Amino acid sequence: MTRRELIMIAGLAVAVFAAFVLSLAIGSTRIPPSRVVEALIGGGVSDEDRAIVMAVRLPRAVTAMLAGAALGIAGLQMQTLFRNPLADPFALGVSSGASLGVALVVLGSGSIAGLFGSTTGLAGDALITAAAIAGAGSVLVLVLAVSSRIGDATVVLIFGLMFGYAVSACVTVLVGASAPERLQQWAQWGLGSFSGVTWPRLRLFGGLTAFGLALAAVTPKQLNALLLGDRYASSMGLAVRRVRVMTMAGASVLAAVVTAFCGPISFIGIAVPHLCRGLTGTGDHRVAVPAVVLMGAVVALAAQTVSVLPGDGTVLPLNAVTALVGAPTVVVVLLRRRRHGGHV
Amino acid sequence: MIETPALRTCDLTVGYRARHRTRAVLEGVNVSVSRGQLVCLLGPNGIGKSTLLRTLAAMQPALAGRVELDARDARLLAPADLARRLAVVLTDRGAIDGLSARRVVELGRYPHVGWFGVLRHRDGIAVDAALAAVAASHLADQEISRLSDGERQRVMIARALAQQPSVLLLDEPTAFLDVPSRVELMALLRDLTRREHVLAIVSTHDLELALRVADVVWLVMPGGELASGAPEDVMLSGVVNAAFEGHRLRFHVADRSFRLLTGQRGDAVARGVGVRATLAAAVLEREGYAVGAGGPPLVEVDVDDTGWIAVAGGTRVQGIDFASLAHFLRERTI
Repeated sequence: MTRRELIMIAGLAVAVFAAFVLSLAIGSTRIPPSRVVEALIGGGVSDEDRAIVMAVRLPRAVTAMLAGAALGIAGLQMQTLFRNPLADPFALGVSSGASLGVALVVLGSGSIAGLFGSTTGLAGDALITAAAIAGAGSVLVLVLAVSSRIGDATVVLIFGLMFGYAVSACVTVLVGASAPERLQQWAQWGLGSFSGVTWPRLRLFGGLTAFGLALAAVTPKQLNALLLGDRYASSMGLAVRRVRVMTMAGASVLAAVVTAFCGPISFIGIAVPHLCRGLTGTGDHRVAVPAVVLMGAVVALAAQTVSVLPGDGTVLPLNAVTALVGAPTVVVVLLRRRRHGGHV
Repeated sequence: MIETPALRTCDLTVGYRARHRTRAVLEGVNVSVSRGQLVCLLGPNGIGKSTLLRTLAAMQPALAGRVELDARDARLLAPADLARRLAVVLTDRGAIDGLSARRVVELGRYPHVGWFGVLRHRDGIAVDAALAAVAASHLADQEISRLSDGERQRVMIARALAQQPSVLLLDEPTAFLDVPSRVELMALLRDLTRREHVLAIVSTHDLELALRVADVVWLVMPGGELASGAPEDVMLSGVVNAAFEGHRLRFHVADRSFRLLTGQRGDAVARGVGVRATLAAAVLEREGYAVGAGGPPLVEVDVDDTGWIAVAGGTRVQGIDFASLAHFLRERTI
């Protein structure tokens, strides 16, 4: 790593810590950061503050960090896999696939409580998560099958978008056929939230995201080789098919798990890898993977914090916040790439 | 001692296999080439040059026969072992715009490093050496997207060299380059074969250039066979014209270049000293005359350093520059 890259990654680590403390401090009631830190290390703060921090805000912040890192890594993996800067779990319909899986279980079984209720058993979570992974994985396999035949990145991207719409339409049909009270809850889930993951649920959520993140962390060499293209990668002795399948599986798990637990959260997947490339100045995965994990955590924590800024228990939809921040980011990044003669 | 050929083919047939049918594009290829040689693979478009290169690189299975690298059957080599013996430069652009030249060359070390791709001291030395070999050391920290096409191609060659192979396969490396960069790149490849003691096999459309720099040319013939030999032997055997049969070109061995097939308007003579006579003949050929064919000339042109005098059909015209000669010849048609 160059000096600049090291400094940027260290800076991102500091930013994660700051965003983490801030997100614990801000909510329906504000708790000063000093008291937040005291509550964390077991100092003398009121039981009420401690309860808010430990039982509500800490799992929420941890969820946000993991979800942001997971979405960022899934986006990075897809951008590399498709060699397309606009690829992400959303654009390629992977999130829609996960949503379909969730919808089939939740609307089919009639227990949407599993998504929000803090008391639902692990089995329900596991079922929903498995369905989301299956949905996301099938969409990604389909899109990749098309991309290996077509090769034209733009066509593949449009195919992914169209596939996403078609899958969303299936979800809409399912939703339309459900009872009105479930509709309300479904819409709520669709807005995205990091608050639904309580401590017990965090074990499954954290375990699966950690698995996906670890997979990305041990394959930077393979991802770098894929940047050159499949033929180059195989000419260097890389088992391209195996690496593609592995990366695809990792990206599907990450995107699906986040979708199952937090709802379909947009823009983090596409924006975070670009922000990291802009910051570190390289597309090398040895730098990009740690940078994306940290940047994803920062962005998700920030979005979470902004969503509760109005106070008084008013919560802005998370997806509105990520889109308002993410869309301009992507536009700026693309404009800069054009100016620098990059190919989109 | 006779050196083991770096690459040898035994009754190699290349082509495509689709469902139940096979389509061979080249059959019975038997060639043997050693390190330190520059081989140029030539032939008209779509005749199977890329198919042959892909088969030699083991990216595509042979329909029959086999490819040997350093006297070992290429099919039996482990992927990483193959990658340490053979490296490629392709036309694929990839998504490497965000990487520095040095990082791109580092990718070439992958068959030499472990799963995590940690580069050690000797890998750094190999990367430096590869960059230096293509005179791109000064570009190491530049982003690939900011390099010119010629510089980018040199970095891609350095990446292949970093694999430290005995064989380099290059698929039309000069395709996107301007004329000076093409000549420079071919000269560089020629130097590399000598200095780095590698075998370079280059497919190219640049036949005239290839015939000047190659040690060996492989010429793909329309019948699906491969003519192979030193450029001069290949030229002498007359197969160059056979390979490009049907095109309105004729290859002239004496000046190792193609000329447009002309002469429909009759014979002509150009007289004079040195380069002027050659250029006058060029003007005559462009205007449709066969120069020096031996028949009774319709036009006779004499040139000296004051200008030209043309005698045609009893008229005698003179002028100073070649533009006016060309103009006179064109006017004669009407």
